[in-house]
Amino acid sequence: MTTSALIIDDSPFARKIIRHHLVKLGFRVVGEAENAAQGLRLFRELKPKLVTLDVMMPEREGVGSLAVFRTIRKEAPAAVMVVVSAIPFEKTRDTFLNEGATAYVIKPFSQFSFEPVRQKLQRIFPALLA
Amino acid sequence: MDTDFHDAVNDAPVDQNAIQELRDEGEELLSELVEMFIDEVPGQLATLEEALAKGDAGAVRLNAHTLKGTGGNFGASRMQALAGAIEEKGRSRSLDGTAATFAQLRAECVRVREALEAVRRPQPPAARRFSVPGNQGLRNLSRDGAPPDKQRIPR
Repeated sequence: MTTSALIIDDSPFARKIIRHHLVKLGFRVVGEAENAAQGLRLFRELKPKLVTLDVMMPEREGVGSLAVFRTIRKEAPAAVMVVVSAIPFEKTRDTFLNEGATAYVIKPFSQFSFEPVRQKLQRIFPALLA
Repeated sequence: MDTDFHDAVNDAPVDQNAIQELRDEGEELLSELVEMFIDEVPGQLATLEEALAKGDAGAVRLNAHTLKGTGGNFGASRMQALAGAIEEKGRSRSLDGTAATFAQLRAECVRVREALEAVRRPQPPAARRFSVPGNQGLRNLSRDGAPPDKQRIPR
């Protein structure tokens, strides 16, 4: 049985690249959202095991990334959250990691930047492809 | 103060290493991303231009950030630098001088698109380079020869 994943990112480029890496790892991408509010709705509906969440997206319906991150953490503490960002600021990274993010990946992606995430995810989801 | 973006960053429109990394992930992925660039960037530029015209600093920051991220996928460092400069202007809520930078950004997007169209096409090994001597025309002119401030990326 494959492990479900949801991608929340306003960039179609990032969504395509993240999807590529997740599928390669053995995840089944069950949904994609282009803003935080849509992402939260899809999360509640699809209940994925993994969520990738972009930090900086245009706010829609008054909901931003950090609020959605905190809501998902509260509603489903077991869901694995990978935070994706073009912001290399330590403070932003520490906020998400201290509040339970499994990883914080800096965009743009490369095989090197994704490698530590791949290793972490394989430890958390041992059934994924080795 | 004007910044010379040609001197500040690598002058190649896209980074061959970044392209090769995408190619290593699969020719199909690279091709889809190039298609996406051709389809998406004109809209991203139009949205940014509209935000600039309205003087909406918040929208300028976000839309410039999007274009910076788009360029980042291909190692388009000059495109990133120009979009990043506009993003900073938006962040500081001081949009003076952004019209000139935006014109440069739009021209650079044409250059990046041309480079991406070239990498998508199968080429003999000797031709797989972006720095083609005598290719100066791509830098300042669109295919129809429009001046930089009139260039548009056609869909």
